[in-house]
Amino acid sequence: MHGHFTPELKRRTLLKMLAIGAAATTLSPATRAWAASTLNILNSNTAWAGALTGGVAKAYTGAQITGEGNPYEAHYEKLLIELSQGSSTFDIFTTDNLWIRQPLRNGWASAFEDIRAEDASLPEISVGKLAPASTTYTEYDGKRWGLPLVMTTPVFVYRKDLFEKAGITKVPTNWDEYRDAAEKLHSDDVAGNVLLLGGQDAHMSGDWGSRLMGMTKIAPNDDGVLDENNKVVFNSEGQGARAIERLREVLPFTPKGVEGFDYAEGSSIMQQGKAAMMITWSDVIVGIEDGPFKGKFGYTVSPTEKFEQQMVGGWSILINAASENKAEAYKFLKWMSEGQAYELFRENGESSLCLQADIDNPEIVAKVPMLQAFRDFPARGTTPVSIPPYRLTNAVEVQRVLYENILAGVNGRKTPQQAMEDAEAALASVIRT
Amino acid sequence: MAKSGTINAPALQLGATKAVRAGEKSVPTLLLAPTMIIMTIVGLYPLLHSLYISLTNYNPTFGTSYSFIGFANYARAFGDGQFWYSVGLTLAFTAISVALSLTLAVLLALLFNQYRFGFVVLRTFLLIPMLITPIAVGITWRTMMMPDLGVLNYLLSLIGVSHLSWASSPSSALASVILVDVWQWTPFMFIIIFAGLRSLPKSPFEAAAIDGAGHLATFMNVTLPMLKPVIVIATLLRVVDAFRTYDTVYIITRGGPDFATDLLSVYLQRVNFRIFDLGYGSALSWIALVIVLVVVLVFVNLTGFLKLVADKENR
Repeated sequence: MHGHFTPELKRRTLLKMLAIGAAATTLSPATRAWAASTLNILNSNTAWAGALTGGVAKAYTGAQITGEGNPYEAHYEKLLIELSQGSSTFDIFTTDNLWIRQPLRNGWASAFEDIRAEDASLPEISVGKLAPASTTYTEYDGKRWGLPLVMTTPVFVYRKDLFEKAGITKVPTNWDEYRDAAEKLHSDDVAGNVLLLGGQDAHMSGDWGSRLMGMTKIAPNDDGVLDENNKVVFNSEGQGARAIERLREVLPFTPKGVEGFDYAEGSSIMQQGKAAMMITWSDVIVGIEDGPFKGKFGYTVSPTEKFEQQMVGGWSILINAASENKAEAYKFLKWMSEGQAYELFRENGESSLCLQADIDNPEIVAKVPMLQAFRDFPARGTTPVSIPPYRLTNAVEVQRVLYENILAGVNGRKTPQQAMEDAEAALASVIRT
Repeated sequence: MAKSGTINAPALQLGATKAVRAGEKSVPTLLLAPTMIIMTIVGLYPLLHSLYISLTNYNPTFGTSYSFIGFANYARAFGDGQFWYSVGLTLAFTAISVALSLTLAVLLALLFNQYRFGFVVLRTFLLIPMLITPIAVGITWRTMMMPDLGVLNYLLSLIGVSHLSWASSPSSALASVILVDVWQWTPFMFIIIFAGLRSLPKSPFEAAAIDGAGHLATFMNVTLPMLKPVIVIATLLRVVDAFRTYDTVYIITRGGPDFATDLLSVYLQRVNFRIFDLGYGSALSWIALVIVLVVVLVFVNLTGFLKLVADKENR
C-alpha cells in the first residue's frame, strides 16, 4: 500500500517544481532585463568582424555583445534566410554594401528615425566622423538605416622591388602603362599580374568593374552598370566590351591556374611573391605583409582609362526590424558612431578604415598602407562611384549574370561585344525595378 | 438466473481469439507508426512542399510573398542551357567515375582474396578514404593540387614531370575531381565486391581448375557471372551517389574553373542558395530527380537486376 510520499510521487512533484521554477525564472523581470541587455550580431569573419565581437564588445558596457562569424557566402545565405523569415535571433546584422538594398527594400531593417520616434529619449546619431563616401549606402528613402563599418575600394598592389629591378620608374596610372608593366615584369618565376577569374565578385567587380569605371563619364547617380532608373548602361558606348579587352590583353601575364583564382588565392600568390601586381578590393588583400616580402608592396589607386572614377564599397551595420532590443541596438550604434569602435577595428588589423580622422592622419596611413589609396583620391581627382549593382534587391543574381558573360568574353568563348550583348539580354528578365 | 449468468465458453474463447488476432494485426502498424510519422514529416512533406514551391515564383530575396505560376518554371528549365550542360557533365562524371571505381574495386577484391601476410591490415587501410568526411577530402586534395605550392607537383618534379594544372585549369579540372572521387569511393565498392567474392561457393572454381581453365578464363566464365548480382548492386549504389556528388567538387573547384566542373548539384546549390530563386530551383530539383530515376531504371533494365533478384529468391 502506497503512502502519501512515495518515491514516485516525490519524483513527479520535484519535476513539476523544477518546471515551475524554470518558467518563473524565464519570465521574471531580472531574466528579461538580462536578455534585453544582450545584443546578438549576425557577423562576417573578417578582421573588423573579429574586432566587433572581440575588442568592441569588451569596450562597450551598455550591453553584452555576442555574434557568430560566417564566411562571405554563408553570411549572405544566413542573412537572407534569417531576415526574410522575420527571425529575431539577431538584433543587429552586418552586410556587404552590395546586398544592402535587399534588407532596406524588404523592410528587414529599422531606420534610426523610426526607432527614435518610438523612444524620444534616444540621442541622435551623427555620421560626421566617418568618411562621407562610406555613409551613402546607409541612406535610403530620406532616412539613415545604419552605419558603415569599413570603406573599400579596388587597390592596386604592386611589388616596389620588382618595379625597381625592371626599371619601371612610374607606377601605372592607365591601362596601357599597366599592360606594358605586366609584360615587362612577367617571367617564369613571377607572373606580371593576377586576375581573379574564379570568383564571381572578384572578377565581375574587382577585375572588370575597375576597368569599366574609367571608360566613360558616369553620371552622379549612376554606378557604371545601371543608371539611376536601373536601366543597363554598362555597354552604352562599348565600354563593357572594352573592359573585357583590357582584361584579355593582360591574361597572358597571369600565373598558372588563374582560371580558378578567387580572393584567397590572389592574396596568397602575392604573399608568396609569385606575382608582381594585383588590383582587387582593399578588404580582401589579406596577409600579404605577413609573408617574406613584407614592406616591399606599394598601394595606390587602380589605374584608369579616361576618367578618374573608382568604386567605393564596404560593409555596413544595421538594426534588425524584428529585433526585440531595437533601443539597445540603437544605443550601441550611437556609441560606435563616436569613433572608439573604428579605432578598435584598426588595432585589430583592419585596413579598410572609414574614420575620417584615420584617413587624414599621416602616421596612421604610414602604418596602414592600404589607406594610401584613399589618400591618392584627392591627388588624382578621383570621383567615388557606388559599387554596381548595389541598388537592386537581387544584386547577387545580376552580378552572377554579368560574371558568367564577362568570363566567357575573357576566356574567348564569346567575343567581348557578344558577351556584353548576351549579358544585356539576360539581364532584361532578371532586373526587377 | 444461473442459466442467464452462465458464460458461453466456446463463444467467449472464439471472441477472445478474434480479439487477440485483431490485436496481433494492429501490432505491426503500431510499431511502425513512429517511423512512418517521422518519415512523413522529414521526408514526404518536404518533398511535396518543394513540388508546390516549384509551381510558384517564390524568391525570398524579394520578401515572403509569392504567386502561383503553374509550370512556368519547368518551361524555363527546358530552355536553360546551363542546366542541361550541368546534367551532361554530371552524367559524364558519373559514368567515368563509377567505371574507374568498379574496375579498381574488382581488381583489388581479386588481389585481396588471396591469403597473404599483411593483407588483412592492408585491407583495413584501404578503407580509410571512404571514412573521411568529404569536406576534409576536398580541402586536402585542393591543397595538394595547387599548381605552384601543392605536394603533387612537387613529387612529379622529382621524377622530371613538369607542373600540371590539376583542378586549376578547365582542361584538367574534371579529371582532377574524378580522381578524387575514385580515390574516396573505390573502397566502398571494394568492400561490397570483396564480401561477395568471399561468399562465392568453392566448387565451381575447383571444377574449373580440374578442367584446366586458366586465371582469365576462370575469372570471365566463373567468377564474373557469379559475382554479377553483387557488382550490379555496388554499381547501382555508386551511380546514385556519384550523381549527387557535391561536397568535394564544391570545395575543390566551386564548379569552376570556367564551369568545367559545374555539376548538377553545384548548379542547383547556386540557384537555390546563392540566387535564392527557390521556385525555379525546386523545379530544377524535381527534373533532376526524374533524370536520376530514369538513369536507375535504364540501369536496372540493362543489367537485368530484377531478374537477378527474382532468381536469387527462387533458389
